[in-house]
Amino acid sequence: MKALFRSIYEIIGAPQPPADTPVYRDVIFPNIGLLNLGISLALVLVFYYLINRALGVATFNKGRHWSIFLVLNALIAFVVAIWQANAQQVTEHSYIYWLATWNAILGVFWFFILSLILRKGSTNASTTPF
Amino acid sequence: MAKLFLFGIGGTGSRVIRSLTMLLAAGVDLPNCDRVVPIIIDPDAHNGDMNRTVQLLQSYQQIYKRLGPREEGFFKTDISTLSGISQDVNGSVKDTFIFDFGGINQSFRQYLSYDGLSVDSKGLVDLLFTQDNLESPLTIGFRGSPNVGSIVLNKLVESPEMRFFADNFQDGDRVFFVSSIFGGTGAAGFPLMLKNLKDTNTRLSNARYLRDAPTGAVTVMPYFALQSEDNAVIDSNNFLTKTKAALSYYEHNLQGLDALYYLADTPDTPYENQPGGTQQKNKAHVIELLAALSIVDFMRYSPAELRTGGPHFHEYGLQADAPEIQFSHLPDESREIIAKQLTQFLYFTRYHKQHLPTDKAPYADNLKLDYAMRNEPIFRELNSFLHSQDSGVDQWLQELAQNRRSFRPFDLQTDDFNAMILGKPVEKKWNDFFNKGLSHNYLLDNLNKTEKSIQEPDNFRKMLELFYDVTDKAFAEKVKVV
Repeated sequence: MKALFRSIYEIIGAPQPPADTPVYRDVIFPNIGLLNLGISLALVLVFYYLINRALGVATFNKGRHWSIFLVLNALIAFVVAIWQANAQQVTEHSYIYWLATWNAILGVFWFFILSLILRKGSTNASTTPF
Repeated sequence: MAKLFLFGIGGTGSRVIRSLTMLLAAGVDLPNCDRVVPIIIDPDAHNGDMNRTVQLLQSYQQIYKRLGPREEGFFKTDISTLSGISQDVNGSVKDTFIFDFGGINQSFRQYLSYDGLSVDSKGLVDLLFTQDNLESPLTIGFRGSPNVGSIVLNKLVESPEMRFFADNFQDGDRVFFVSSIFGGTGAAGFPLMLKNLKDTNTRLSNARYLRDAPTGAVTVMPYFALQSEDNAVIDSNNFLTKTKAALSYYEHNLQGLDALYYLADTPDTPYENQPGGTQQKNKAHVIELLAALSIVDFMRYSPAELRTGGPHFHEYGLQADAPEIQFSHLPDESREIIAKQLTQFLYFTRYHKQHLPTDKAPYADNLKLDYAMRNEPIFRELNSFLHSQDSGVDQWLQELAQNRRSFRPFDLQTDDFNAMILGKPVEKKWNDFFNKGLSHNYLLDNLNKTEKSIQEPDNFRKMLELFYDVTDKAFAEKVKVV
């Protein structure tokens, strides 16, 4: 698991400053990786299964509505990364913001992939985003 | 495969068939028959009422051909031309809903070969017909003169159409006549047609089947007046006199009928006085709708019921003498036949116009509606049937609502589905935030849900089935009863 998240998050480069690398690899990467996946899944479930199925809302299924959830997911992923970095008291560095941005991009990716997998089970958004 | 041969005689015949077509499109059940064969008998080939009825029938026929037979749904009853019921080996019967008069492009005088008659015969003709009758061009019908009509229409029985009709008449088929009693074509045509079909010495084939066939008719007595104009050919002040004269004839000379329906109303706003031609295009009237209902009523009787104690005579009364008729003014039996079906059809028509073109939803994506509505001819045909400015459902409902007396069960101006049935708004629960009654959201949610459960590869058939099911559920859940 740690190796998986390490490979994903170090695509943008090694953690900075180098002294904090163990904290990133052992704690922060797995934490933000799992939270990112979990939050993306939760938002996908809320959009496709709660709003567009259980609540019977049929007019909140357009591409623009889906985009709202996509952007929301990215923002949460960005904030979660900063929060986790601060929580682990790593050294203040611009790397944190690069990591948060990358986490947001990954959030968008997860949300998109999960949407494609789960949308068919929705009543009113089974063809959203396309 | 039992058929109903429906003879619509004259302008009223066309208008009643128009109403019946609308009822059948709405899914009103026509029992004891698998196919309706309308035959419009009107020598006025350019009659506006007739032409828009024919246009509507052709449109219906196209739609039905694509949909095929079904237990329930919109457009569930087959409507066919006379030539469509069997192969015409001679090719003498045209594939049309109109009886072919072959273009009687002459005056009544020429039709009678008046100038070649003997002096005695001329004297008899002069006694029976006015100069105006004799000079009248037959191209626009009989202009309210049944004495002229009875001569011309007597030739009908020798036509290829009548022979083809008789050749294909089978045991179990029925015949129904629609005509007015106060005009020219209908008043003359109905008793003549009946006499010829039931004649024991007829030369038509299948004479026994024809004689024994359950036979009904609706005779429409005056229900509109015409504007009085100097030199007008038709004077509506004579309608009652002509009705009395015809009724006294009917009293003793209608043989072979199993059921006869009488309808009439007090005329209100007079129609524009057009004796015929393209300009004769009257607004749909509730009497025509009720006359169409008489056909439905006739078909609900079994042959045994019709033959027991017949002929059966029917009149019609509203619950109240209201100038604007809503569903609550109709007797229970009529309401049960049409209220739910017309409401479902209105919901479909309105949704089709208001939301379908812009719906971005799974049901629309899966049916490929965006492409189909722009490119597939059958979708354009449906669009024309529903929304044509001349003959569409919207227009028909508007005309019924505008005429006097008006049939106005719906508010046709509102976009709110909750308020569409006048006098019966859909209740919204004030304490339930999510219950907005018959909202766009409610219909859309059900369209998306139901679409998944319909296993039908053809997108047009699937769309019609989908909307029937959803409007059926909407009526059952939200309207319940009218």
